[in-house]
Amino acid sequence: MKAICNRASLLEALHVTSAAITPRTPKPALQCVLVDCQEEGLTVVATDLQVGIRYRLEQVEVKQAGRGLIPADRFLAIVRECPDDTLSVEIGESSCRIDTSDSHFTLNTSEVEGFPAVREANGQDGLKIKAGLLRGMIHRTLFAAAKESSRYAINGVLWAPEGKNLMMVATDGRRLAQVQAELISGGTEATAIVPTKTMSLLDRCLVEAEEQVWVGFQENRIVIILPRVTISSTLVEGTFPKYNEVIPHDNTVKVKFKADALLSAFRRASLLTTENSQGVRMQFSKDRLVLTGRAAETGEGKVELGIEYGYDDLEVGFNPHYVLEALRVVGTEEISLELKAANTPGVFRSGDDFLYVVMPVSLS
Amino acid sequence: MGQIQILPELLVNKIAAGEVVERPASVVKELLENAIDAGAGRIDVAVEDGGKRLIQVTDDGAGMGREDIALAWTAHATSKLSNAEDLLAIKTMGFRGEALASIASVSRVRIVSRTVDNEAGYEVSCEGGDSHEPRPTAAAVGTSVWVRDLFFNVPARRKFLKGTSTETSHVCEQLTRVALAQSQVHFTLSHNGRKNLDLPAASNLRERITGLFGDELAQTLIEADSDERRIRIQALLAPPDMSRTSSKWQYFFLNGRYIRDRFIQHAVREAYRGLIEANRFPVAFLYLQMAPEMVDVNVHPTKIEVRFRDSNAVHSQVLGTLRERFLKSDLSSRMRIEQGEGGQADGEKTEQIRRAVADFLKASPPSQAPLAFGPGSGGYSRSRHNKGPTGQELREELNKLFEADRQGSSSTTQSERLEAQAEPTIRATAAGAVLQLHRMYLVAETDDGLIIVDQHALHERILYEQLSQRVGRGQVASQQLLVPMPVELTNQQRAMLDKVQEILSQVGIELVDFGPTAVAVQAFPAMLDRADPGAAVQDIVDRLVEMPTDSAAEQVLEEVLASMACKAAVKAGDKLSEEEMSQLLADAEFAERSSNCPHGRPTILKMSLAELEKQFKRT
Ligand SMILES: Nc1ncnc2c1ncn2[C@@H]1O[C@H](COP(=O)(O)OP(=O)(O)OP(=O)(O)O)[C@@H](O)[C@H]1O
Ligand SMILES: [Mg+2]
Repeated sequence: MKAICNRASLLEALHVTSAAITPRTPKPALQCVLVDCQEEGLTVVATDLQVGIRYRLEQVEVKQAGRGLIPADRFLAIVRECPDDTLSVEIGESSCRIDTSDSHFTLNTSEVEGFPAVREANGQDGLKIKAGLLRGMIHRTLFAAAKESSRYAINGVLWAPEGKNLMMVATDGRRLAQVQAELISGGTEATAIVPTKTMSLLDRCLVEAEEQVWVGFQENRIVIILPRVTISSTLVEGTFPKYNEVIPHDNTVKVKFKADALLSAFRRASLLTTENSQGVRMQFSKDRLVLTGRAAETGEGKVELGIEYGYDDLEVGFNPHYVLEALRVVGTEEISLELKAANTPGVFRSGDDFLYVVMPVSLS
Repeated sequence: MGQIQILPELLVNKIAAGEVVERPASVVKELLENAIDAGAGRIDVAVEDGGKRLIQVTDDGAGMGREDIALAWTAHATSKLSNAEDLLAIKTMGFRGEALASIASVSRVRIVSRTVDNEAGYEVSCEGGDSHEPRPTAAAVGTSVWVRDLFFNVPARRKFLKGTSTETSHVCEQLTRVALAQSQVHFTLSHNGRKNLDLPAASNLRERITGLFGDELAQTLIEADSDERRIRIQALLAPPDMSRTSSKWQYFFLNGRYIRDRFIQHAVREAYRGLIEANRFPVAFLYLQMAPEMVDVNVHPTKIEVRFRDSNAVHSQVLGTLRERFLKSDLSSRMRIEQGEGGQADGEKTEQIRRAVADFLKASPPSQAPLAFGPGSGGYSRSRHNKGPTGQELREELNKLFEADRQGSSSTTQSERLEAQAEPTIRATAAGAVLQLHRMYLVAETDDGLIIVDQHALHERILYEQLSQRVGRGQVASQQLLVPMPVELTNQQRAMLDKVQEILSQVGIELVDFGPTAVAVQAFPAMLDRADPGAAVQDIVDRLVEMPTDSAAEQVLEEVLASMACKAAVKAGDKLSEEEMSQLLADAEFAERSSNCPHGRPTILKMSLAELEKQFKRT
């Protein structure tokens, strides 16, 4: 096969697809991208067996159809360093040639045979949503998902479509983020837990806010189709925690904040806290909030914030990271915090689509 | 059941005599085995006060007639074996005719038994060896044995018995072993009149394991079978991420009998090698079946150890069966994913080196161990580890390496060494970036030289110190959890947990009851925000049941802290960001005893500029 590619779009394709590859996977084929060149265009494919991605490249001139496996990291490095606007990729029997105006690379390639196929959608049922909305949802949930694999099915983000709405929920057992958005069209009510890796891969592909994204769920997989990209991923098996039951509904104390003022206050109050301190304490009294962060090893920081507050005095402690992470992504000017009493879960809300439950930290 | 006969003298001598009765649990084991031998379909066990006051075992097996019951506690009276040849082909659990006799000599025993052929049953009782003639009595078909006041006539032994909960947990463990071996039998266990366990006859092993250990474990087990060279193996294997800190969760059975065997244990370890950390133990249930003449079960008084005619064959078949299964299961992809970025081979190698180094340092105190810095340490033979080198071999290997290096440099003076400092100064200088090597060690510049840090050991130590300081001041911040995280427990673990609740809440762990076989974690130390609370508590529980039951509260606390620190610390193999690395080194300055990890191994090695200069012959 032979094709002349636009450097910038090839680079973008390789950046996105190679995020699917598990670095240093023992299977050499899985360290490669499959370059598949047909009359109608060129596709770059990568997979780690859990998630696979096909990226269709625009701006190529196909000279000869064909396909081959190219080691992803080398390919990426060559394209990244290439000084020209276009480059030529030619794949032969057991090697691949990449030519720019002043450089020539010959790479050894592997057998295409046995490279896992990325599954295509096989049904019609699916959701449609605007890329920009989906991206916003990912940003406001993914951070709250469990980072390391734990025994519970929270190592992913729950997708729960309902009618013309899509809800996403993520939790690591200590806090929970829930966000909602409107669909262009619904079609399924099946819930699914999508692995965090797939979520961030998807995030990279959502560039054009107005593009339509098609999402289908089938046989334990999610298939996502964008104009240039198809992602197919296994789902996380298991049951997601019953999130409705952990969202407090009887919090009577409601406080409004300017999101950036609260962010700044929390950031400053946590300057002297350490990884293992007791969190940041919020002390509410008449129209006043005092944030205190202290660690035995470093000292103490106090920040005062004028607020509207007319309830009984109240004190609650939170891990500042949990609060900061949410405040960074809310994207609204205002945010509200709902509490019930001392040392009870706090519920942050912004707009009518984002909700965030944080469990308190207390001295035992 | 045949006639009980007095064994000929010769045979008596052939049978290894030994201590059969050690504690209530051993009585339970013997009675259960007798019931199994009698072909019981249902066995009910009731104990009071951990079995110290009463052990009652009732079965619906064949029962005993008048003659048999009269001989029941005559030493070496058994219906199961009558000549020396039989000893080579034992198919029953009991064969020595020793158990009831031993039990009867140290307790108050009563037996009621009836066979199908008899209208009525017979009853005998015996107190400290004095018995009476069988008396007719009304009874259901089968046998009931009551054992009261164990060791009432041996005060020394009685005093030696542990508290009720400890003895209960031993009883549970014995019952668990028999119940796993005999999944087709219905078992119940009650303690002080309360039913603790009800295990209906199971149609397969997984069902029985579910009954004992809960669904969560049972569902993840994968099965492996093989039948070669007259050895049949059936295995149920947990995935690597379910591994434990002790081998207690490895159950091996031979022809329906629970056994301990280091060959099998080693084979299991080998099969999982590279898939789990070296100090963890996979959870596995292994059932071996072979002709009785291929194994000698008469080598240990409680028959818990056996001697295989060909232990190498057993080892290699267990290993082969497990390996083959792992190779073709999607478990391997799961393992690869969960191992994160390091490939399996890498993991093996680094683990091996880590162990070797740790062993080396442990074996010889740092001040006498000149770890000369030399070029290439790459002479390490990798092929060896297939054979599973011993710590000794590894040490020798490393010693050789270092030896060679030393010879390369002309002199080996005292100062030419890298030593663990008691009070390391680890202020990385402004220019001093921190470098991570092999995702295990950090190297940093100090005011007068350089340091090498074992990232896991140091972090573990820091967390341990900080935790214990906080506990001391009563300042442990506890993070409440959104959803309580359930932890499945064995009865033994359950009994143990009740005793340490107080200590756990001191460290910020709050537990609530969660059904009969589980607790749920409701709050967990805030500083351990990286740890999975469920897995961490599981680990604590596993460690604590291994401790002597009379351990002082401080020791328990120490063990809890060590477990938490280990769980929460960065691991060998974790990639650290620059920020994390400098944080770690900064924290080390505040932490006490940061030069050694909680297990006593050094965490930081230091080399001064002067030493470097000497090494490079710049002086
Ligand atoms: N539950 C029972 N049902 C029927 N017979 C029993 C029962 N328990 C004991 N017996 C009879 O009593 C005999 C003596 O039992 P005991 O446990 O002392 O010896 P064993 O089982 O033959 O050998 P070992 O004690 O060495 O395991 C047995 O051989 C058996 O015939
Ligand atoms: Mg017996």
